[in-house]
Amino acid sequence: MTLLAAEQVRVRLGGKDIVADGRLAARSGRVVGLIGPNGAGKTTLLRAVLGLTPVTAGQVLLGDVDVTATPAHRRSVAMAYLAQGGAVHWPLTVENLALLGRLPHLHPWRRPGDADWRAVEQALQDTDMTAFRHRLVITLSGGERTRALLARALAGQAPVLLADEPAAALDPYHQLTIMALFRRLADAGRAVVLVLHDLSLAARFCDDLFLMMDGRTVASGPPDAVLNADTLARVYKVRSPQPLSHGGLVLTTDDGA
Amino acid sequence: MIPARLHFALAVLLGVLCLVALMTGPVVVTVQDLWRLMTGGGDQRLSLVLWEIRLPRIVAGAMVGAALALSGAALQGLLRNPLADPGVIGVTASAALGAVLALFLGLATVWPWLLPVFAITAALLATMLLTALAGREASVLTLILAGVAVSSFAGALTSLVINLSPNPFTLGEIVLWLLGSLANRSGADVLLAAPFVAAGAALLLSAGRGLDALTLGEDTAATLGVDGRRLRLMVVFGAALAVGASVAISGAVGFVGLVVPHIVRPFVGYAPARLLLPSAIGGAVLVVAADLAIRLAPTTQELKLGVVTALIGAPFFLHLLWTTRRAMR
Repeated sequence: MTLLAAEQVRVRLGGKDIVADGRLAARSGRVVGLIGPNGAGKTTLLRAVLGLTPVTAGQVLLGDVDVTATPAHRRSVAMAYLAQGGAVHWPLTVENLALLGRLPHLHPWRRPGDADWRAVEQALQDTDMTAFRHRLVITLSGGERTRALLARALAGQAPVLLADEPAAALDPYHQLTIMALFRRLADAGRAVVLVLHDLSLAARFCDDLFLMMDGRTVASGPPDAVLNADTLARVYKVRSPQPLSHGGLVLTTDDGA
Repeated sequence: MIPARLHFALAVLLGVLCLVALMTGPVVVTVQDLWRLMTGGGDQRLSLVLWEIRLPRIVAGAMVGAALALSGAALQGLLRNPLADPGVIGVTASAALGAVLALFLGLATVWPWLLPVFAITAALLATMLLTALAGREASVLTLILAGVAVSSFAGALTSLVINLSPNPFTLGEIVLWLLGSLANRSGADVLLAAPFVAAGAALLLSAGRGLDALTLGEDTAATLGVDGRRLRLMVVFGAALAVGASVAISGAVGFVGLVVPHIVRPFVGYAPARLLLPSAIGGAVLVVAADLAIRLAPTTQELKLGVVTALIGAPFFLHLLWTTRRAMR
């Protein structure tokens, strides 16, 4: 079932179309990769979908409701966002950090109830952070910190999870672990949307890719269809010596790098 | 410590302190005297001392302390910065300028309510200027520098007013105001400021949820359903109301908003929302205690409250800078 669909989204900022024709569709059970070279408009499209940047034209459907003009609350219960870098400004414990994900569900003057704590518990389990629950976020390593922030995003139990370059600051081992975690979350029923720079991760873990270039979504579909020799050369200016189906993606540039 | 127990402990501490403050002074009041007075009997002169002199001073102290500490805690949450004290960032100095202006123009003697209104308006202008100057994701350094700029400007204008003040009487009044004191506050003074403080406190206390979300940055907070613009307005207006009105009662009293939230924060797990109420009670405790110490201190000239809090607060501020200086870069 399509939970989120963005169609012909245009975002105009400072007199320039940062996104001219952005498209995105997220389905329950699938990991969707939003890829493209630097400056293609991936992050802006993601922000527009989340309501952080106003949409100039086009529509963003949550279920069958256009959310471009609806109050923030509807979006906050339907979509969870894992920002790039992920600031945590106070030294909270992992548990209290995850609890912040419950804010869309909390009554302003009421304490978190059983349902909230169950959701936090589940999020900590899903991210393998249960043992770290009383640790302060500032004492965590990069990989643990990413998982703690992910637990925060999961605690709201939003059916759609959007993450902006979740693997960017991690070493290869933690990149693979976190991607496998997104895979499991999708398998458990969530719709996962990831902005990715690493094409081999995108090829390996995503079910669908949306490729952006100069503010437009220029290709979409399964990884082996999107990451063909033609688009790699045209969009990324790189070549792949062997086809994607031969297990993994190896890239070279024309000038020999 | 869980917040409910923390609230209870602080409230008990405040209650005991207020009782001690009520009973201590040149005329010592025993518990029996107090009981007789409360049940309607007792000495009339004693009753006058207690209800007309000591009680307004204690209530004023508690109110000022609560307002300043709560504003500090909320501003720190909004700016995500433990150094955002209304005094440090120039809001108190601006409110004092407003109050001094009302005194200088003689407006405060004709319409007493203009004093808090002037102080609040000046505090509001300063807070707005500050949030604009410091920006959204301001570094500690930018914030402090913006505070220095706002403070210096308010200070310069205050000096100008002092410079131009026509007679020594006004001058003395203004200078005493700037030192910050709770001496000779009447019930009427307290009642005048109370509604403003209450309105400000209500705004600040209801901002807790948004401040919690802001821990994750403005974008993530927005995806959690928090309206950043509304939140900023709530805190800016709330702090201006609370700080402005308390400056109108007590003059410039600094550093309460810095010291109290800093001490309370570890007890509430650093969560900005849970920090608000205990900070308010803790602020009341600190100011009532400091004022009690002033009254008991064997000095020929009574020490001014603002002088004492600055003497405690400024070294504390230095200590905070020292411990957080790595994060400042």
